[in-house]
Amino acid sequence: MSGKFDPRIVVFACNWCSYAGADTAGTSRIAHSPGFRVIRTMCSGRVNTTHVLQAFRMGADGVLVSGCHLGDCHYIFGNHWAIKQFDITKEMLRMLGLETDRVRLEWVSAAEGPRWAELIDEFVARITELGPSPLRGEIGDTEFAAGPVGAEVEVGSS
Amino acid sequence: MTAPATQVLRCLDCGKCTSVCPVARYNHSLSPRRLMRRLAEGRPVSTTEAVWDCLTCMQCDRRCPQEVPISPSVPPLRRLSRERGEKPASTRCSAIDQMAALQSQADLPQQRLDWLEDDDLQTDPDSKILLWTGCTPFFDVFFADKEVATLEAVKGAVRILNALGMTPAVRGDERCCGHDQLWSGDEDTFEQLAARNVKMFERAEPQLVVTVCPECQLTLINEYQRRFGQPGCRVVHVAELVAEHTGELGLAETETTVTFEDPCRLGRHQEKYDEPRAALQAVPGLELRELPRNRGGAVCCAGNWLACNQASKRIQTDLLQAAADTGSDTLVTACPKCMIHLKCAQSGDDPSVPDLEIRDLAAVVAGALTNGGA
Repeated sequence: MSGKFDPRIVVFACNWCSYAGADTAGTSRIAHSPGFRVIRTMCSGRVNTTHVLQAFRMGADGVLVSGCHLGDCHYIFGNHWAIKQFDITKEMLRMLGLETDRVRLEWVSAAEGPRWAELIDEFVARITELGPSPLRGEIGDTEFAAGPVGAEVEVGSS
Repeated sequence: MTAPATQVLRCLDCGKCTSVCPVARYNHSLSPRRLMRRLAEGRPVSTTEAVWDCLTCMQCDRRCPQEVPISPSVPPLRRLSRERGEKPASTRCSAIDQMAALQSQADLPQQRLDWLEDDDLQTDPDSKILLWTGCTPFFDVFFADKEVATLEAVKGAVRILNALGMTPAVRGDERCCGHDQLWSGDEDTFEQLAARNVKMFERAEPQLVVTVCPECQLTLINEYQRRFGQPGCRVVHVAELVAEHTGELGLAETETTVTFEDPCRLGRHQEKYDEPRAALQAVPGLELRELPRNRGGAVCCAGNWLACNQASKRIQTDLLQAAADTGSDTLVTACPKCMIHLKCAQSGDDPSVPDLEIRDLAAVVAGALTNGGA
């Protein structure tokens, strides 16, 4: 663990396309970086500024939001809503002084296993290049890993 | 802001607090009287909703014949609620709180001064006059869908200072003052924010701090100066500055009718009622029509990001209706938060909410400047 930077990446994947896409990548045995943690949401439109900021607050180095391709949203316009919110999030992060490359919004369909693997590898590479988030503070790897699983995640309160 | 517990024992149970409470009028779960009685009798305060619903606007404190510190009792109650694991509902999933928390977590190279570039505003990083911008750059991004323009107040303040021959400094290492964290019982985040801001003041060594936000002013004066001795200089709201220098500002004739909403943090919390009025009346041709409830009795904008609900909306609609009924073209406020909350009330498609213009005092005054005005 010591010396080598192991990026902590949080991925918000929508239930209908991207999460299934990640599944496809897995069941197709496409080798890709394991250094990410997926949080399944019903829609990419569900992921708002708070979720992304909270991930950084809890020690993430990068956040990827992924949903259905435009026009394919299970909820018709959810991903358009996701774009709106993501633009605000990105601008807020830029103003806060974080590299905007640490966040990314992508569309991956359920069939696009190879694309998912490629996207993850690419994002992990970029985050590795950027190095640890300055907001990591003293949050240790175990603490971060335990966060979403062991502890109660408190989105909606400070 | 700490309330000695014994002061609550003075409560006579007269109920004046609840009768003037803007929230209690529409939301019966909040009753300041009941809250104070419970505290006085040492009974547990169990209704968490009531704890988060209070606006801490001090309407009740002002009317209390026994001077019971009602609003100041609320943050400690909120802290207790948090310790018990209770949480407020929080507007927009508390993204603004998250933003402040991130600012408290590390010294990031903030990019918050972009608004300087596209304007002919004169600033000087080495100036000893510090213009405190507060969270306005973030508000304008986050509340863009509400057409919020709180930076207009900041730009107005720069223009006013420039017209007075002052070139202020605006700093990229400024952070949220922590007002909301303090009043919502999140003392830890407040202290982290304050510690970073105090270091910033130590670096900047300002001789005058000018704010556009009364919440920031209140926090800098009542908390920063009292607890940390920084900033070691006068902290003034831009309305006060204008009121003090009315003769020196070249203001053009501006035919307009406005009404003024006293922000609770400027009015009841600091008892500054005359200054904003003097500032507005310095503009020739400007007619100021008072709201029926003004100065100490002014209705709060109902801005509460802990528990924004139907009651907030009704208070805001009433306020906007009262403003429209004065026959004014514009509702002027002196607080960016008031602007956000009132614009939010207007943003729905409810036709019963009056659609009058809402502007900040600094922007109105700066708009009348003969040279350098927008």
